[in-house]
Amino acid sequence: MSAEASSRVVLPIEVGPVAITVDATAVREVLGPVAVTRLAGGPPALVGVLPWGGRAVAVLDVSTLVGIDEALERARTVVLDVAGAVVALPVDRVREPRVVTEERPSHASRVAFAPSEVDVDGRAHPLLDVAQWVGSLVGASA
Amino acid sequence: MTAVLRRSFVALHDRGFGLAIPCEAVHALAERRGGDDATVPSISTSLGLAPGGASRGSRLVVLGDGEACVAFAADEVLGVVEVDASDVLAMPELVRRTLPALLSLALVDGRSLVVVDAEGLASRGRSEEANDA
Repeated sequence: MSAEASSRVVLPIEVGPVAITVDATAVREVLGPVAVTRLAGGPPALVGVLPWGGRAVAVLDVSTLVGIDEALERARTVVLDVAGAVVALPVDRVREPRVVTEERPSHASRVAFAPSEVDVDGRAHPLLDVAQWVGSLVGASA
Repeated sequence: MTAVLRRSFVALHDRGFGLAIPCEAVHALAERRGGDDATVPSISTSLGLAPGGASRGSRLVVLGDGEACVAFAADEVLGVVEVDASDVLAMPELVRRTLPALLSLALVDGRSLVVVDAEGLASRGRSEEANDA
């Protein structure tokens, strides 16, 4: 019962050589490659916008968090709704969602906004807190 | 029969950005000649999208009215496009707060153009002109 209560479904994603996870309950859709309308001049992570579901959504580049080269054109695009803010993350690979029961603080994560990590296939994956990340971008502009 | 509201924009490209300006805000479009003033700012630079520096844009987009007109350089004017109002999507909050000069996203024949705040852009252009004078 307690293990069930603390379980979480995560979606493992890969950006370049970096494997991370996001909370699967926030995921609204996983798209193929999409044409992103490029933007610049805002926060470095805000790389563009794309139309989705009758609205324009911000495209955020995960590579800015993991220190690899920016590439707007990636094979998949994960659309997430975090606290009412819909954002799209271009990624190279999306794997099957996993139920994880153990979440622990991440002390050695190279990924910003990933205060905890989970095990996927026996390997530690940072759990990206997308809401915190988006909040920091909005907050930085205030 | 339902009336479909449509909006008209001048579509242009500058420094890799696809932009749309409401037609009612555009006073004139012109070719930029070789001897023209090289200090005309690039429209994408004025919007904060591209870094500063001399503009090589070959077209001039003139915004405003009468003596309050202000010109911006652009690489290419694609033409006038008409877009259903339902295909003009408001920018997400993150964009509105960090790039307030970008108002919405217009969907045109499968591609997207960024609709700019022409009034704000003209106002900034006039301020920059006054500072340079």
